[in-house]
Formats: sequence, structure tokens, C-alpha cells
Amino acid sequence: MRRWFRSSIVTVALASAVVSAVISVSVTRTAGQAARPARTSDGKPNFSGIWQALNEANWDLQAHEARSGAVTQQGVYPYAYARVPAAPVLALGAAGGVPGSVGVVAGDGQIPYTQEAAKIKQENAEHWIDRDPELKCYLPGIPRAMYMPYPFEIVQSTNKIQMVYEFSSTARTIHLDTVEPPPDDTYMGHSVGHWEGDTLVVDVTGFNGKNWFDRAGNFHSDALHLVERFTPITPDAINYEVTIEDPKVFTRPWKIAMPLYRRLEPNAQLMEYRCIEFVEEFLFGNLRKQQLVKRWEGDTLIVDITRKVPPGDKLNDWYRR
Amino acid sequence: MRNRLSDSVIAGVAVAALLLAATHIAAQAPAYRAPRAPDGKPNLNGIWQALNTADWDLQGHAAAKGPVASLGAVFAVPPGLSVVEGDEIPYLPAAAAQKKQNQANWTALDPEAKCYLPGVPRATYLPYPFQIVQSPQNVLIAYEYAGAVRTINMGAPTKAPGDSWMGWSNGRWEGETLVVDVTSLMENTWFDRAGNFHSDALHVVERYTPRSADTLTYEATIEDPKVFSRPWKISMPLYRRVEKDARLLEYKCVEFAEELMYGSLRKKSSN
Repeated sequence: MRRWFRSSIVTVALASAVVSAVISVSVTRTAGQAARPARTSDGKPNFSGIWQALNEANWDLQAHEARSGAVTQQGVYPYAYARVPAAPVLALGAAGGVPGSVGVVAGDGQIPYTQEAAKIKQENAEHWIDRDPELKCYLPGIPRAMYMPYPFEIVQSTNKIQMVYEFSSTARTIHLDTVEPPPDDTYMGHSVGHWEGDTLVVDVTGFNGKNWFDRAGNFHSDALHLVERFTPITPDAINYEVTIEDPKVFTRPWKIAMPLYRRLEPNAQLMEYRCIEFVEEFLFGNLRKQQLVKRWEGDTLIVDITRKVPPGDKLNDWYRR
Repeated sequence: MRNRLSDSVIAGVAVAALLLAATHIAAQAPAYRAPRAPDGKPNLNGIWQALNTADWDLQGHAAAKGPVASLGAVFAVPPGLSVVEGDEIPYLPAAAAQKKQNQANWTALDPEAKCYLPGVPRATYLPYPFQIVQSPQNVLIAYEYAGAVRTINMGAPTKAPGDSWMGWSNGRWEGETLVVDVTSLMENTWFDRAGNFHSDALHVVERYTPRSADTLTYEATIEDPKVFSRPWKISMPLYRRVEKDARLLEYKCVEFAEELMYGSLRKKSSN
């Protein structure tokens, strides 16, 4: 009797274990993008899938209020808050406005530029329309690729993790195993990762220094060194943190943090955003025999597409180098 | 011995039954039960946002050049999958022609560019967050874009005093789902930047269903006998903004659109 009792307890325990296992599998399944366990076969958090940031960091990493457009000019009144959109974005009206944000820079929200670099940042912001590499469809670099308003896909294996970005169809490989250093600097850098518990830590170097952080002119040099940390919050959200170090541009390391969200549509997938063709007029329109111009003709707005390069623009010369 | 055998057979059958029950639960779709508000209804309070390209075009679309060449890759059209069930919007023939015309002239015609209030359902999937504040009598939705708001009456359905941008919303709970019936919408709003539009006969039935602690499923059935030959449906996930300091900021865009709308009245063009 006693033995029977014990064996039936074992049976019930086994049964309930199996049932709870089945239930937990079913919960993961309904919550996920597709049928996908929360962990990989080697016991790591499973980041495979399609992700996207949901914030205003690509406009400006720092806290900022809403603005009438990415390019503005003085309106009727001489106040900063009364600036009106300028020609390139004017036709977009409120659809081209810049949304406000509480910022993603940790701590006091400041970016510790050196004095010289702070001036370049200011100039970048003023000449955004002439300078931002995003406008030109350059590869976005890290960390900007992580919070652009386009999705990216993570494909995770035990020794490599591939991140594929919709914007300009770029990608990077995170090496979890030992690899040779890269032969030269690149837009997307060289990523080496390891696991610290449930956190994927990625060390990124080897940048060519041609990228920006955002549309506010925040920039870095080729001495950029990133330490990224990916920590699961839920099966469908990742906490993404980056420590940014660049002794040529910043006086000390600083940090940004934001959640990344899993795209939950059952058919979520990356589509093509090949933007080279989108920027031909922008980059080479000056070669037209008759350039397109801008003016009001009665109620009709003719939009300018002239792109000015300020004379003696060192940064521009540097880009073209 | 015999007894033990039959007992373990019974135990085995019980296990199988439990397993069957469990798999049955797993097979039924949204088993999620949301945390409750004090009145026992699912708690939808919080800041939410869509994460898709529906505001560019409800239907599936490839990436394309933007309307302003000098913005290069920044304001180009991002590609997106359809949020329309079956990917077809059943326009009547005249309306289909109107839609094409709208699309060809979208920057000039789109109410979003002019900072008009966005209407329903477009307010839900504009690229700005919105906040749900819930009480037993009313559910308030505040949208960052243009400071738009709507109050959903949860009591006995009431009739609109007149047409408005954001319409007249009567809500009710169906189990886990907040169902909102929206009528009396003005005809001056669009569905997206692709020129999809409606008339003042628009009738929208929205369904907000929690699917996890931080996500909702949003569905809207759209009916407008002046424009469409049959009702059609859109659906998409909505995401809770999980930043610790998430909040709505101001996006008061009337001033942003002044130069566009009235710039031609300047004494001398400033551009």
C-alpha cells in the first residue's frame, strides 16, 4: 500500500511536470513571433527574430522638444520657438515635423564632447541637410543601425550571431569564437561577443569614422569603441545598452540605453530598403543641365532640391577622402 | 499486484487526459488573461504605439523614393507588409479613381501634412505614441500627434451631437476585449499617406485585445457604403512603450504646418 502510494505520487508529480512543460511551451508559442523556444539548444536566451526600436533616438539621442521640421528658418518672429520649416521639408508640413523625446543618454543626459568636437557637432546640426550620412544612404554603422526606424533580424548560432538590417540591406557578424582581426576599418565595424549569464556582450571596434549617431549631428571618429549589452526583458523585448568611448571626440565614456521590441506580426519579415537609387537626385542632381528650383508660383510650391556644400567644409572633404 | 497494475493504468489514463487537456488549451489561440483594473476589467492603462508602416500605406508596399529629393534616404517610403486582411480594400469604382488621385498628390492633399486631427483608426498607427486612461465609465485615449483626444463612453450607448474629427465612441467589454463603435466621423481625414480615404458615412468597430503584459492586438472593421462595396478589416499588434520614463510629449503641429498652408500669403516669399 505504502509502495503503491509512493509510486502514484511519483506518477502524479511526473504528470504535472509534463503538463506544466506543455503549458509553458504553449505560452511561449502564443507570445512569440513564431513557434520559437525562449532559449537555444545551448541554453542561451534566444534572440533570433525580427526586432525594432520604438523611439526618437535616430532624431536626437538627447532629450529634445518637437520641432516644425528637420530644417527650419526664421519665421515672422525672431524667436527660436517660432522658426518655420525651410524649403526641403516644407512640402511635408506636419508629416515632416520632428517628434520630441525624453532622450536615451544615461545619467545627466549630456554627451561629453571635447571643446573642438562640440563645435563640429553644432555645425553638423546646422548643416544636417548637407552632411548626415543617412541622407546619402551610407551604411549606418553601430549603434545607429540598432535604432533607425527600420527593422533588423537576428540569426543566432553558438559561435556566430548575424544581425541583418533592412536599411540599405546591411549586416554584421558577431563573432563568439576566435577570429583574425579585420584587414581594415569599415562602416559596420568588427564585432566580437561573449555571454555574461543571460547578457550578450559585444565589443565593437574597427570603424572608419564616417558615421553619425543621429540626425542631430552627433558624431564620432575612427577611434570609436563600443561595448553593447543585450539583456532579455521578456521573450519579446530586449534591453539594449551601449557604452561609447572615443578619446578623439569625447572626454569620457558615456552610455545610451533603450528597449528593442520583437515585431509580433505572424508574417513579420525584412523587406528591401535599397536606398541608393532614392538618393541619386540628392547626390548627383547638381550634374543636371537644368537644375530643379524652388519658388512659390501663386498657390503652387515648387520645392528646391539644391544641395549646398559650405566652402571649406572640412568634414565634407573628410567624407570624400 | 493486480491492484497496483490497474491503479497505474488509471494513473496513466489520467496523465493522458491531463496532457490532452493541456494541448487543447495550447491549441486555442489567445489564452492570455490581462491584469485587472479595480472594476475587474482588463487593465489597458499605459502608453502604446504601433510599430509598422501602416501610416505610409495600409496595403503591402515596396520601398520607394520619397516626395522630396533633397531628403535623400531619410524621408523615403519604408517597405511594409499589408495590415489589411486579404490585402484588398474594396473600393467602389469611382472611389478607386479618387484614391489614385489622392495618392498622386499626397503631400498636397494629405490631412496629416496639414496637422488636421487624424481621425479613427489612423490615430492608432501614426508614428507617435498614445496613452490609454481607463475608468469604469469612460476610457480616454490621448494621442501625442496634434494633442488629439477621444473619450469612449462605456455606459449605455449615446448619440453624437454632430460630426467631428475624432468621431463618437461607444465602448463595451467582450471578455478580454475592449470593443469600440465609432461613428459621426468627418470626411476630412484619410487612412494613410497612400491616399486611402473614406466619407462621412464611415463606421469603425475597433477591438483592443491584450495578448501579453506589454502587447495588444488591435483590429478595426471599416464600413462605408459610399466608398466601399463591403466592410473590410485591418489588424496589427500594438506595443507598450516599456522605457521607465515613457510619457507623452507635445507634438502640437499646427504651427509646423503654417508655412506650408499660408506661406504663399507672405508679402515676399522667404524661401
